[in-house]
Amino acid sequence: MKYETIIGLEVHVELKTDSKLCCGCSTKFPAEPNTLTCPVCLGLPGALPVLNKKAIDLGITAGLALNCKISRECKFDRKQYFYPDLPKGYQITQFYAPICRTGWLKKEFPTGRRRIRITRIHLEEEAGRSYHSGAGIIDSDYSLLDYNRSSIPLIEIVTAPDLRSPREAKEFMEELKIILEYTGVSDCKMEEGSLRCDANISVRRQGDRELGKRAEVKNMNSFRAVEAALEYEAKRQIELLEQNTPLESEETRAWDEGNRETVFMRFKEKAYEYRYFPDPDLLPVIINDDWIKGIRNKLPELPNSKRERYIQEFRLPKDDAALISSSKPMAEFFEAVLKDYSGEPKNVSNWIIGDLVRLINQEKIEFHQIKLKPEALGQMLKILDQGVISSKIAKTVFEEMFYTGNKPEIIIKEQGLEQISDVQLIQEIVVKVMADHPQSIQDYLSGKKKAKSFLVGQVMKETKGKANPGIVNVLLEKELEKIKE
Amino acid sequence: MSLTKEQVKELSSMARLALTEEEINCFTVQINEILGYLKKLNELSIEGEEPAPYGVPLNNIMREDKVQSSFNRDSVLVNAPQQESFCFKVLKVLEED
Amino acid sequence: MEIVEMSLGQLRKLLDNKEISALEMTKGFLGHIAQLDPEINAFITITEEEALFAAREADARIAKKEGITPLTGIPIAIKDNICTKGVKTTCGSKMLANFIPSYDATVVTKLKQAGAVLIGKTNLDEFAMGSSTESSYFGLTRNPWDLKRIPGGSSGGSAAAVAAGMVPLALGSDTGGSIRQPAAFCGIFGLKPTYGRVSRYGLVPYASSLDQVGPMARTAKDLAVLYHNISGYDPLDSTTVPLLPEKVNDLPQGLKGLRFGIPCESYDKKIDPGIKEKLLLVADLLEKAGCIPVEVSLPSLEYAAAIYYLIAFAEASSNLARYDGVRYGYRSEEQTDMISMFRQTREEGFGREVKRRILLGTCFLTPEYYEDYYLKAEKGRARMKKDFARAFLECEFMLTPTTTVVPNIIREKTDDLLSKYLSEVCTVAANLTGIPALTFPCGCINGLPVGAQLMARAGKEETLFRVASFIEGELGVVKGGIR
Repeated sequence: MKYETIIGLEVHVELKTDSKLCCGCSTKFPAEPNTLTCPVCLGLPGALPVLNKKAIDLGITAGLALNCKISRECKFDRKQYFYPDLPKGYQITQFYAPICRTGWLKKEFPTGRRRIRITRIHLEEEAGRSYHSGAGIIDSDYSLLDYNRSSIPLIEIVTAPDLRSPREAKEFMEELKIILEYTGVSDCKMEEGSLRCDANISVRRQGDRELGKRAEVKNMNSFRAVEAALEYEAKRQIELLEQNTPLESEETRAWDEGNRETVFMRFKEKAYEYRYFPDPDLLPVIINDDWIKGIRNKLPELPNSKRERYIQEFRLPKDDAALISSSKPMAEFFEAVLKDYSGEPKNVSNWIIGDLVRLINQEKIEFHQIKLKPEALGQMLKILDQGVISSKIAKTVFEEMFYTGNKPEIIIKEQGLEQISDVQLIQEIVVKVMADHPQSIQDYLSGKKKAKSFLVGQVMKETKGKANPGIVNVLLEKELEKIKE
Repeated sequence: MSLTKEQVKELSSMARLALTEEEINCFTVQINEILGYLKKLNELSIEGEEPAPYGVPLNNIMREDKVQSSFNRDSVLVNAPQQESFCFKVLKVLEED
Repeated sequence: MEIVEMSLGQLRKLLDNKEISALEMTKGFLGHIAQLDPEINAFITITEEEALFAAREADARIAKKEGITPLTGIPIAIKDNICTKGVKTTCGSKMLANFIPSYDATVVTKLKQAGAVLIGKTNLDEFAMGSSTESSYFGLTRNPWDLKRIPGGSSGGSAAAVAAGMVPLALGSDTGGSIRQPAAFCGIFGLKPTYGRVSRYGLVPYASSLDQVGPMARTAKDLAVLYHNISGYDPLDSTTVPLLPEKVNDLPQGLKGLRFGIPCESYDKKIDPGIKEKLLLVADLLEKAGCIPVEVSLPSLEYAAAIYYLIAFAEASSNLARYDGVRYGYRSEEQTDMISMFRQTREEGFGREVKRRILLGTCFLTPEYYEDYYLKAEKGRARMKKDFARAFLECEFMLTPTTTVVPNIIREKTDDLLSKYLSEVCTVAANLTGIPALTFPCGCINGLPVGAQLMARAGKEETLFRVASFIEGELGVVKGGIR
């Protein structure tokens, strides 16, 4: 019997604003507990919220990037529930009139390209954080509350149940992250909690039309966790189906990273009654065409179309195009190099994907922090193509540029790294090397071809790698031929 | 629509009020009395009316994304019933019965 | 004349002519409070130290003739649901009995900037939920006209304090009549401003779409001065109207040609005949002054109370959710875990009327009741706004009773919940439609004051001040509350 897994996601994304959704407190992270709070985000009696326009802008941006319809009228509602991290006893959110509806994200899956439908995007505010004194949630007697995160703006992106495997869910999340980073909507740092997702998952026998009862899985804190948790949960549900004991009611489960399993939290029937109603403190926001147009005009080229363009226009291999376009700063760097450099684009992507990424990882920095300038890389590639330096020297120059941010011509000059193409000079060195290594010549003459490579190496060593290897080869061969005769 | 005692109990649990038995009895009667009076609203014609949940007919009241200084932490914590390590302290959360 | 009887203008003159210092004046009022308040209980907190400090500052301003406003050096009382930095703000509740805000409400900031002397925080029905000032955790307030009777509510403390001459001016808050009804019961002036004209920042909310802070005073002119001082756009309250505050002018006298509406629905048989008589007297005076009476109809008025309670309780159930014992306020000792802490804290911290309203509001917002009750009320409110807009095409202001009865004996009406709720029938419409409404004293019945209410289009407070000032001039000042 074959089974089909049906997954829909609810993705929470912290918006990249300087101040909170409803007050002027900073959103910076990390910070000392309760130092970024005020009467508004602490829910003190009498304090009132005032909307941050940037949050609306970013909500619209996310909607446009995900092909959504932007609502003309965007309103805020109160979602009521009691929890100590929720200072007002309600969360400001959008229930009746969310900022975006009905969009989609096109994604290349191993099974082909599909559109994953976005049902809605709504704006809301973040809650505070609780820390548990003692060993863990279960053992501690107390919770400690820090409201620095309280009222940071979020969007919740809700997808249709269009994903068909845990891997698709993970890949969708990765793609979403790239888009949201690209458009400046969010930092998308899963480890800091600025990108989170809950998944609704159910299974059914292949060919069945009706959906099975679903479970909502929470607490997945990395892309890998998304895949692992959903794999576990799909398997669990399939086993239940096979034992003829399918899920009877919808339930909420949490991913336990340590034990690598999903654990039961509560039945959905017992879910809170949220009693949504319009927040009288926040007046409606009317979004007109000009507002949307202004944001649309500022929208950057999205990774999907960059990827296509790199393949078409720059003839990059698919993998290179995908990798470079997956990060906005990397793609921008790549394109900036090509402004100065008219050689083969593949040369540029090789350096970025190879040496640059290696050095970035080695130094544990972010792409946008690098000292290397795109013009410098372009210049170095030009010099390399002209044969002024060898590709081996280029690696040295590149590292130097990476660490110092200096221009290649300066590095080459200061360190005397120009390639030696002076035939007479190389000739002299070849002769000297041959004189120093008579045994190698004997070896060569007795048929050991390797001996020639050794001699080339010795010439390069004498010139500290700067000799033009082509010329060295030609000259050495000539000399050896002479001896043969 | 009138409410039973059980329903009033459910409401009190939703509103996080540990009402006494006496209060539940009394409130059940009173709530039903009020609900009865509110049926009057059925006589009012509201055909074609849009809900008007705001006190003032304004739109698009927003502020710029500018950071303003937060409150001094001492004044934030001054009213805390219990605190520890500059945080508000509460008993741990147990799952609901 | 004693200072406790004086109007703002008279007090101003004394200060400006240096016949009395602000410090002496403040001490005078403090003395009067010390003498009367043990009986009346208008105040929850008397801020003697802060008041004396502010009075000295005011004297310095007056000496330097710098930054003197009509309120510099004038003692003012603040209803205890308006936040005052460093001074307890209790809302008349055990829940906030020890709550000390770290910030001032915008109206308080404005008064301080004007150099006013904040003299104390006044009693109210718990969280402003009531119309008798009997439900405060800090005891009930008595009506200075007759200590056996209620002062009305919820701003009963402010009304009693002004009426008794303990202060010349006070701030109240009005969600369904909480300024106007006690003002009427205590024989003073009170204004519920246009929604959005006075900042709500720092007013502890009862029902956010209806709440307004407003002035209470013994003369129409004093009322206008205080209103002008507290009104205006506030970037901290998204629902304030971005208009500049109006300039204080001497109120013009002429009323000729103004049309005043008499809504037939406001004069039904439930009104005390004595009150009706007083209103007719006022109507006569207006006609003699050249105003034109017009009969108007407000068919939805009959439903105002039902609409009001649905909306107010629904919003209240949400606004009072934040009192959970975590960050401030009362926390029960009876707790085994967080949820029991919430439940016990709220059970012990709130009084009966507050709990009743929270339960009802919670009920209205459940899916079973949301469409048929809450949403219907919001649509009903839209209908009422249309009814009023139509009526205001035919008149510049309306004249109605403020209350249907005179103040009752303390604890007399505690049992009959519905009739208690329906006592606000005259006042709630102005909150639901957001229009300004002013109550002024228009005589007495058996030694008890009677108020009449004026309503105008949104933003037309000036019309109300003009009319009220005219009638005040005709009827003379009623001072039966001064003790």
